[in-house]
Amino acid sequence: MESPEFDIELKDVRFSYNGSDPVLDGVSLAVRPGEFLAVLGPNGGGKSTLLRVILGILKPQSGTVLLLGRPPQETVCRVGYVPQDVSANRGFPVSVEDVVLMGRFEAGRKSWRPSAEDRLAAETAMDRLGILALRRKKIGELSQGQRQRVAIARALAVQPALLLLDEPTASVDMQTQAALYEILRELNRTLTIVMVSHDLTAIASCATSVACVNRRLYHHDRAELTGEMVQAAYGSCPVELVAHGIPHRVLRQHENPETVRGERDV
Amino acid sequence: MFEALQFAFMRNALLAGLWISLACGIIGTLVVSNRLVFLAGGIAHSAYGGVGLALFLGFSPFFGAMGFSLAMAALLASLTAKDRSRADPVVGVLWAVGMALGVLFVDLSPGYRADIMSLLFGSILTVSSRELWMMAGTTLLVAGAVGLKYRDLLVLSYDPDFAATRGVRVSALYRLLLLLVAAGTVVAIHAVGLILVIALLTIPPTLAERSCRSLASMMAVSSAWSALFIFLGLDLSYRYNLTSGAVIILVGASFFCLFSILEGRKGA
Repeated sequence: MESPEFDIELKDVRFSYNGSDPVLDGVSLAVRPGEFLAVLGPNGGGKSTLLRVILGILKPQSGTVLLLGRPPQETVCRVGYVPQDVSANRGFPVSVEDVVLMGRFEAGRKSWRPSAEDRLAAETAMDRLGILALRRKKIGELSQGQRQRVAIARALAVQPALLLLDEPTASVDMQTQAALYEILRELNRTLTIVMVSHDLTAIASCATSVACVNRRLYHHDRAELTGEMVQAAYGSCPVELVAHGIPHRVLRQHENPETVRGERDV
Repeated sequence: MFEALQFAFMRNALLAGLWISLACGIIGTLVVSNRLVFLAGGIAHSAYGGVGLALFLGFSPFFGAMGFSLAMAALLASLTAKDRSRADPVVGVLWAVGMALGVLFVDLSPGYRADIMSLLFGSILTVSSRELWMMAGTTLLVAGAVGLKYRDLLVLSYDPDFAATRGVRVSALYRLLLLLVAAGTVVAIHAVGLILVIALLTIPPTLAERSCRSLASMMAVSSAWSALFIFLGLDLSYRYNLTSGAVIILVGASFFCLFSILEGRKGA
């Protein structure tokens, strides 16, 4: 199969919930293989909705979505997804290993027992995230950061071509956050990654490109935020353009506004 | 209680108790882990509409309740599948509409019907052999469907969004889940009635959830708790001549309180 030029390609996508004001409007986006895209934006700006549209969980009212070159329904099984709020169902009776094995689940497969290959993939993923020792623990016994690792391991068990993460560091401490970014940066060597975040340090630590979403989408090919992007995405709300990372990257004011990829010129 | 076993109705009640325990354990586990408690309550109460309709048209209230709750579950599934977090108001309306329809149908039906109270508060002591067969059939059907779709239901229950990315047809499976909940609930209505049934669906799984590491084991442990509550409740209601449904619920609630207090002590 010929590999497509872009892992994700959105053209002029418009999405609204139940006919109300659109959450996404005129959104175009193209993500190249190997890219690490950080998606920033204010709360309620449509970041999570964007991911769900890319995955085909939500269908846009207009515009086209291609995932790995095909309609998302056909290719979503090759994508690892880390949803927001991995602690929503804490009391659930399931072990860490069984959660990760859910990444090996495929609807419609005859046997519902995981194969040796499934177990190996789950084990490798748990090992990569440093949670192999926790495999027999019940999910509710873990800390927030550990549960986040489980969610990422579950997405890796898919053996995906593309990893989509929704606020993976939303409620973990700084140390865990740094460790998770380190892991993601390493994964980016072999995987395209799209990460929704409200955390500007994400850009400095691992992203190779940035997009801001606030109903419209502003995409920038380098790991920099421009004043225009921030202004457009966050409005008049003052945002401090500071990120800590090594090498230290300053989020400088863009000299030439023409190089900012607007919402339609992808 | 052994002398009571010479009565056919007591033997039927115990057998019914076993089937009800199994149905409650399986369905209650799915209700609690999918956080569908309010929705299950709505389905159970709206079954009263079917009971009234059955009286009005003169067929078995079991079929009336079953048909009505299945229809209600299908309606709820299509209304709430898109946005589950906003299901509450819809459930509240259908809950009351179902009961109101039941009341009107009973008004329109001639004569006084004593069996209405038994449907509202349970009538495990009056379960007929025919009803026993229907309960057994329904429970086995529910158990079979859950067994067949076990991993799909597991992935859906834990995380519907992730399930969608694994190719699970989420809204179709959600509809099946609600239909199974409706069927299991109608079986359990025989033990404690449609008003009290929600406690029998929630107390055993909540007790089981703490110790279990899989949905299947939670179903098994919940079934065991249900059986304990039903048999203990039956025994007490026989000894002291009390309404069995209410005693069953209060036995369950006592265990629930006891464990909550013990848990609280451990945590302190």
